Amino acid sequence: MNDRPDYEFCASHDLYGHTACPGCGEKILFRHVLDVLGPETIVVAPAGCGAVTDGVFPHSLSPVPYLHVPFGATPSAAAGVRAGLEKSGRSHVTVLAWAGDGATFDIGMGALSAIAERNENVLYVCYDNEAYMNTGMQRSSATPTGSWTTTTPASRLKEEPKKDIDAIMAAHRIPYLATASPAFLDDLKAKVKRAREIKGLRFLHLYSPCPPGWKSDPSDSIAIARMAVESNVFPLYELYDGRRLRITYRSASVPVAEYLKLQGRFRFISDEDAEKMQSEVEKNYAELMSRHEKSEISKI
Amino acid sequence: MSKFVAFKTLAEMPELPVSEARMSWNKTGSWRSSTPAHRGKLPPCNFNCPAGEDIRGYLDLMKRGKVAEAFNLLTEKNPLPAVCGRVCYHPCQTDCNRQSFDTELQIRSVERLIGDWGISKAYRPELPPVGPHKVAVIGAGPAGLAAAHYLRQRRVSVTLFDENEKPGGILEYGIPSYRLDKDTLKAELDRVLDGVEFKPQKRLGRDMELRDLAGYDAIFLATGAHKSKKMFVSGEDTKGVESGLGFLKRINSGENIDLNGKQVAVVGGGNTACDVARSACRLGGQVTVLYRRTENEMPAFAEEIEEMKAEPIDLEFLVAPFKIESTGNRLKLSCHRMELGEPDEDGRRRPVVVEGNDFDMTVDQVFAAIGEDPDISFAGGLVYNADWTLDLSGVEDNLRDKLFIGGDILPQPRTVPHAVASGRMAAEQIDAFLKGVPFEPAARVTEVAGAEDVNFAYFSRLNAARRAHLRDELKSSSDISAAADEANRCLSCGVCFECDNCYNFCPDLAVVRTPGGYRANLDYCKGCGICAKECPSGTLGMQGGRAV
Ligand SMILES: Cc1cc2nc3c(=O)[nH]c(=O)nc-3n(C[C@H](O)[C@H](O)[C@H](O)COP(=O)(O)OP(=O)(O)OC[C@H]3O[C@@H](n4cnc5c(N)ncnc54)[C@H](O)[C@@H]3O)c2cc1C
Ligand SMILES: Cc1ncc(C[n+]2csc(CCOP(=O)(O)OP(=O)(O)O)c2C)c(N)n1
Ligand code: SF4
Ligand code: SF4
Ligand code: SF4
Ligand SMILES: [Mg+2]
Repeated sequence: MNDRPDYEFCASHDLYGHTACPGCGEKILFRHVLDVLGPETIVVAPAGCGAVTDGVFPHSLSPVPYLHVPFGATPSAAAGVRAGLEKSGRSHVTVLAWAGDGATFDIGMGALSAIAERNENVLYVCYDNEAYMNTGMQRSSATPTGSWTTTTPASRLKEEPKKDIDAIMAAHRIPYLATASPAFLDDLKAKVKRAREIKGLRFLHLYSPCPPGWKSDPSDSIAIARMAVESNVFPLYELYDGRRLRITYRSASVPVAEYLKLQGRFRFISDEDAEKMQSEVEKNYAELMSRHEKSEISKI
Repeated sequence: MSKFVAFKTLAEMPELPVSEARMSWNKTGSWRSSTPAHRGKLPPCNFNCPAGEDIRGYLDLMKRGKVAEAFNLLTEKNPLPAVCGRVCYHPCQTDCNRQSFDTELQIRSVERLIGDWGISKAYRPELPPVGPHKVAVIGAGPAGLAAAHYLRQRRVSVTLFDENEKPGGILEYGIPSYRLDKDTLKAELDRVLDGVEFKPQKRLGRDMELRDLAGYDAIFLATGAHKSKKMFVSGEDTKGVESGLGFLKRINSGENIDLNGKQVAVVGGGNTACDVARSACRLGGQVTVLYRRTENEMPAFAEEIEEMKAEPIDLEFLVAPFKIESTGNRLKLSCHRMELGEPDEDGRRRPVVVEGNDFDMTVDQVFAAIGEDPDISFAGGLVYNADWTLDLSGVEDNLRDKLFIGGDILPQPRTVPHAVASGRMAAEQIDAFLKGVPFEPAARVTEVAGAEDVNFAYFSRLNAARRAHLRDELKSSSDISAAADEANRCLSCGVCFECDNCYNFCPDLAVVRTPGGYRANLDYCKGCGICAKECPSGTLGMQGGRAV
């Protein structure tokens, strides 16, 4: 066996038996985030796949307290838990809000803006599987253009572009924001570590493959996540105080088409939309690059 | 493992919905319809190495900076890394899966650097004391050397006889020193023969007979193939016509030979012809190689041909001499022009004479290098069958049972690593014979890991500039760290290198790391297949069904 230490926390706490689908990205993300944060953590989670697959009452996968809260209330509930911890002298405990894209981009948006504006000391993670997956793959404002969902069927694919949640959060000038992917675990863990050390609202936007929702092969989850990064559909970067930006991984800039073809949800996309997606991606990436180069922390 | 909690009455329910147990009672393995498993495929390099080296294994040690361990693992199968690192035709590199990605691993250069490291450190693994058995080895070429070495390591007392003054066989008296320098050879053989008694200038059939060796517990015959084939050309015994191997032996024995300004014809297309032509060129001769087929059919190793072509040597293809006559102090060579006809038994197209196109050439010297046959005129009762296998029925009974044979004397490919392998195998066989136990050769995995098994996303390509210089740089490097860098490129085809991908990417935490390797915990594995797809080395694959 290699000399690396064991990843005790999750491995030694029997993180098995959850009910997520085979190949679920959310569960890969959850175990690695928790491995970094360790036992002094409280999870606050709204309705969604993450919470639902954590277990069936009265059982829970999670080795730390896992508080189920109403769909739109994650930010407020997390702020409440934080206040309680402060009052009871347990300020060292991390409050981890763990919410889907529906809960974050849509129904929780107002409350999220509120805790960001107040810079509440919460680590807010959005695992983004780009639709309301738990209730049967309805589109959310995180669903990309040209994607199939049950509410954007082949005859009427999603037309609107994905909401730029990162720009919205950046506009709140929160101390730390980062994107991360399960295909780049070292990068992900480094970002969770940095986020843990910072006080205030930290926002992590995690890319979360969903085989049944994306009509992809369960074995392709990591390959798709890697492609999302390599094609710049989901670039990896971090942002301090909403201003100083650092790209943390230089992608190979492979064509977006390589990314699309691994997923059934994009099977019906028109050539025109695919090309538009390619040029959007290029524009966004060029913009990120120029911000990265202007930033004084840009050394990768 | 956590238990399943079921409430039978309302009263048993907690007031607040609070969890009372974990989820591990939920054996999600029952969802599975395919199962990750170790494929057990062999890396193509290991598969193709005639000496049976664990190449992937020592590359892995090299990249971890464990040079001594790499040296030990390599020399478990081949005691001649510095030699083979120079003269082996490296079939290990031919199917390297890195080839389609950028450039095949420069395994031979790594092997040479490891061998040279052993020499520079005067590295000597400890010798065990000898036991009661004594074995005679005849012939100190690579086959006899390997047998003597591995027998000695197995506590057998060994006496190695050779007709020559120095050990090495073809390594010493055939291969020219510009390909294998004498210092390296000597240093390597000193280590290999540690603890072995070497008796030079003892020719079987002249200085001793097979029956004189009856006092040994076993005899290993590895006298090689040294009888130059006849050209069957009229006048081939004329003065000025010599066998290529004889010429090489004279050079290697230190004789001063001057071919300055001489016209030299070398007949043949094998390794001997290449070495003879290049040696004659170095001695000042104007060399023309005459070969009766085309370059495609030349039996010499491709690299030899390339290197020969880079020198001022004329190559005449589709030419066959049929008569040699003396013209005073020169030689007239009469030749046919040939063309290729139907393929013969070994698949090469047969050369046929083109009538009416004969021509003459005048030269000073002819070297016949059309191949060698084994010569067993020494051995009482030993004869060849028509297919070059040996018939031992005429050997005296008390000798036959303990007689073992290997190397070029047998019908096997004539290369150093094949000779080494047969010597090592003979050592294992003799050891079993001496102990009175049956010999069971290790079973070989024959399924080979191909490029389709490797996940290249985890490896980075060399840039074009590095790629262009890699081969030459490594060939001339004398820095062991270059070997470690090169080893770093190894894809570890088919063999786990403990990258932890399977462990890390499993959504169900169902991969367990154990000291014996990584395996799926089938109680929980849902069969998603991520571990197999993200396994860089192709160690893991999915197999149909819900294996338990
Ligand atoms: C010119 C030349 C170049 C070659 N180049 C390469 C190369 O680059 N790479 C490669 O892989 N292979 C090469 N080969 C092939 C390779 O050298 C042989 O396959 C290999 O050496 C065979 O090993 P061996 O131990 O069977 O025989 P040998 O190396 O031939 O050794 C046999 C030994 O036994 C001795 N002997 C013979 N008869 C008697 C006797 N009656 N009593 C006592 N001693 C005796 C011989 O003198 C010799 O020392 C080359 C061969 C030749 C001829
Ligand atoms: C107020 C409210 N509306 C609707 C629901 C039903 N509901 C439960 S989970 C879910 C989808 C959650 O989507 P997302 O946040 O993206 O998480 P995912 O399931 O995709 O992981 C919905 C709509 C609910 N629980 N509460
Ligand atoms: S990449 Fe390594 S293991 Fe694979 S064939 Fe090449 S040397 Fe052998
Ligand atoms: S990644 Fe885990 S669940 Fe998926 S096949 Fe491998 S061991 Fe099974
Ligand atoms: S993924 Fe890595 S650790 Fe797992 S079997 Fe393959 S090489 Fe070994
Ligand atoms: Mg979602």
